[in-house]
Amino acid sequence: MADVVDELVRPSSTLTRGDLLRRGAAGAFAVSMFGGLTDKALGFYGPLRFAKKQLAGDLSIMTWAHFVPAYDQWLDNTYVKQWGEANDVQVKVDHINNALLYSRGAAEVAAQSGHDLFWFISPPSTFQKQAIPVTDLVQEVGKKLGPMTGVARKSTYNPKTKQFYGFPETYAPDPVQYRKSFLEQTGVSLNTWEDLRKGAPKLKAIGHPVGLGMSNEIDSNMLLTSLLYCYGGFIQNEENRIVIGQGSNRRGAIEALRVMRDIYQNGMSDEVFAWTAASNNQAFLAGRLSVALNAISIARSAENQGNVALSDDTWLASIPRGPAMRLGNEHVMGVYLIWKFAKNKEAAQKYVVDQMINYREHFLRSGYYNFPPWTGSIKGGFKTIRQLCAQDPHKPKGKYTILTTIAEKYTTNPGHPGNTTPVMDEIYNTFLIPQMFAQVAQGKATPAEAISAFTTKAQSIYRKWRNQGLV
Amino acid sequence: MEAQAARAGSRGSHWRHALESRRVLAILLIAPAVVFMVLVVGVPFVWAIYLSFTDAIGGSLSGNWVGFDNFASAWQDDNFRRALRNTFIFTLGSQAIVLVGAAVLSNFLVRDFRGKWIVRFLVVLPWAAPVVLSTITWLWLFDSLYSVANWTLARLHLDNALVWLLGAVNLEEGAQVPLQWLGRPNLALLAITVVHAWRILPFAVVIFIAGRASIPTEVEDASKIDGATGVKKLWYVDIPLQLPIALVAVLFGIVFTAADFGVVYILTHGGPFNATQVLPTWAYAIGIDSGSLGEGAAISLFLFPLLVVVSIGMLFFARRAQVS
Repeated sequence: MADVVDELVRPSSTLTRGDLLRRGAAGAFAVSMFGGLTDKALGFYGPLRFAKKQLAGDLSIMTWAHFVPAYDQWLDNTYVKQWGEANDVQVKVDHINNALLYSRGAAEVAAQSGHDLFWFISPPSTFQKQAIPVTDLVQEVGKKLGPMTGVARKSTYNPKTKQFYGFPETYAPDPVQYRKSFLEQTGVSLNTWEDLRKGAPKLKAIGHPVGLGMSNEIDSNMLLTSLLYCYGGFIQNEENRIVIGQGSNRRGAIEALRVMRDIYQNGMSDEVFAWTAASNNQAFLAGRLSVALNAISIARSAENQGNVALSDDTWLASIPRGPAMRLGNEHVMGVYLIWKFAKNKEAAQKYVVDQMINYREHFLRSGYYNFPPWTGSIKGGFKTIRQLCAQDPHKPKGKYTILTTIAEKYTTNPGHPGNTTPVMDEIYNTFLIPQMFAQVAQGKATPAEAISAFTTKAQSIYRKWRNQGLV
Repeated sequence: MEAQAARAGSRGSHWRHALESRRVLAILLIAPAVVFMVLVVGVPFVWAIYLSFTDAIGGSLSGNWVGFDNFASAWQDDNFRRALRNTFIFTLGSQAIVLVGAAVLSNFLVRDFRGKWIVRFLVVLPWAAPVVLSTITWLWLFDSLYSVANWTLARLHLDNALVWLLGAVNLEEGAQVPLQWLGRPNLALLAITVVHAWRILPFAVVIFIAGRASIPTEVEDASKIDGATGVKKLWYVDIPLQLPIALVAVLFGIVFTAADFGVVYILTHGGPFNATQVLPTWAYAIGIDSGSLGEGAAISLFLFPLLVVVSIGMLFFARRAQVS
């Protein structure tokens, strides 16, 4: 906590937390007022309200190339420009492929040089010693907007250090996307995983297999961990200890492995072992798949490509229910880190606060991809979000409404019911979960053997990070 | 004034004299290369050795001394052992293909025929293309949905036969049509080996051609007079004379393949189920992506003894080839 205060109330700075929030609100107000206007309106600003307290200098931001390209265009050409002009800060935003964010982040940390603000696609808990804690910012934004969602809190809070090491910027629900006509034709339901297990062979028989990845890529990590939740096979407990090899967790995980093996053997093809993060999108958009689990990028791509037949036939649903629960991981958890070596920490802090205080435009511009970690950042919270989603003009009318339900009730963080820790980070980065599922699916190991092997590896990783004092 | 000029002249003469000395000139000429190597290779290498004995995590570049814990921890992990095994499989498998391919192609390309220059150009092309770009092309060829390889097999009506064959020789039981080259462990190993061989082959061909060109024509004439033709000539004349330079090509190929990161990372990311991980990609997953810098450094150093032996071999055979 002392670190945060040091960063926020340095003697050399006139910026207090109160100022930060007041000015954040003012900045957000300015952006909300003018953000929706066309680029021609960029030059219009009245006299600066905090003329003697302006931030200064440059602010460099590294972020991903968004799945919705139009969002990046708006962010770079409208929002960031307006925010920069309102705060006397020259802002530069760099976008890179999401798969390169970790290695780029590691390179910046190694060089102790780079961007002031670094956005990660999943909670970058292994970098937390390199970032300034943002607990004060989180608390102050919380006072303004109300409580943070559980998924964002557990993704960015370290109970061991009692600090928020990252500032949550967004999260994306992970709905099932399916071809309505194929499911109607075969009479398959997606209500439960058991329904899908029984229905998968019928879908494959009509030439449209199910597409649930078991490959070395992030989507497979997210999906397969979700399946474990649904069967009560939790990798770690609330205290972030590895428990998957014990009692009901082991039994649940074994059952989840059996279900996925059956779905693969009867309703999928080998392609799910060879996928990259974009492959299920491509296979669905090519008209091959009947069911996939992904963020709304599949549905949006169908719309943007002008493929009306496919778009109209693509419906969204919650993740199927398992014997234990209906629960899925977020698909994306966008988290900002402010590096300890950042040259303009004050501007970085103000930028993230400003963005969060009025997030509505970000939500809309991203085509409902970016859900706010504080639902209060959209006035009316989930109620308004639901109404906005319902207004989407694409057919079938109201198909995006379910996103709100998924975001509100069925979305959690990797590591549930614990936090997203460096242990989960390493488990994901070494693809141990797809490895476990794929070995069982291809008959290389029994579910019990795969669980035992996974548990051994996970416990070894846990011990390593516990010795680092991060779990 | 004159005294000053004399002193200046004396200093200039001193420098000229020094530069005439082989010892000084040699040091001066080689110094930039040595400094460059020390900075770019030596310092990171020594640092990696240091990190491998610490519990350093992402970005810290220092940590607590843990002795050989990182090496022991890596060795106990079956994914690491698989990565080590795969490194050998890819290296030896691809070099076997390269050796045969380069011998055949070089024999063909030293002869005169119409269109020789374009064949040579095509052979060398994979070496000229950036590894990342060419590997992405291979990724498309092996794509899960739009595989050119599968399209070709299907057009030739060979896809079902190949699936049957793979099952019959126990290489990939349970494989389906269309084949998922990067989704089945043995097929993925095969695909990666082929890409490595394709990548290294041009280099080996050029070395082999140079080796053949260096054989004195007198030796060729003498062997003809002695009646050495065909296989006999190949066995008793060509191979012994080309062996040192061929070994240099193979040893270079071993280093290039064993230390390669891009091909596996782009094609499979180590999948399916970490069955195609190699030491560089596993070290990256642990050390960079997961932030366990010390352990990642230890994993990367497992290759060092092998590469030292190979490098010594390269220098030895290169010198021998030069002398002969």
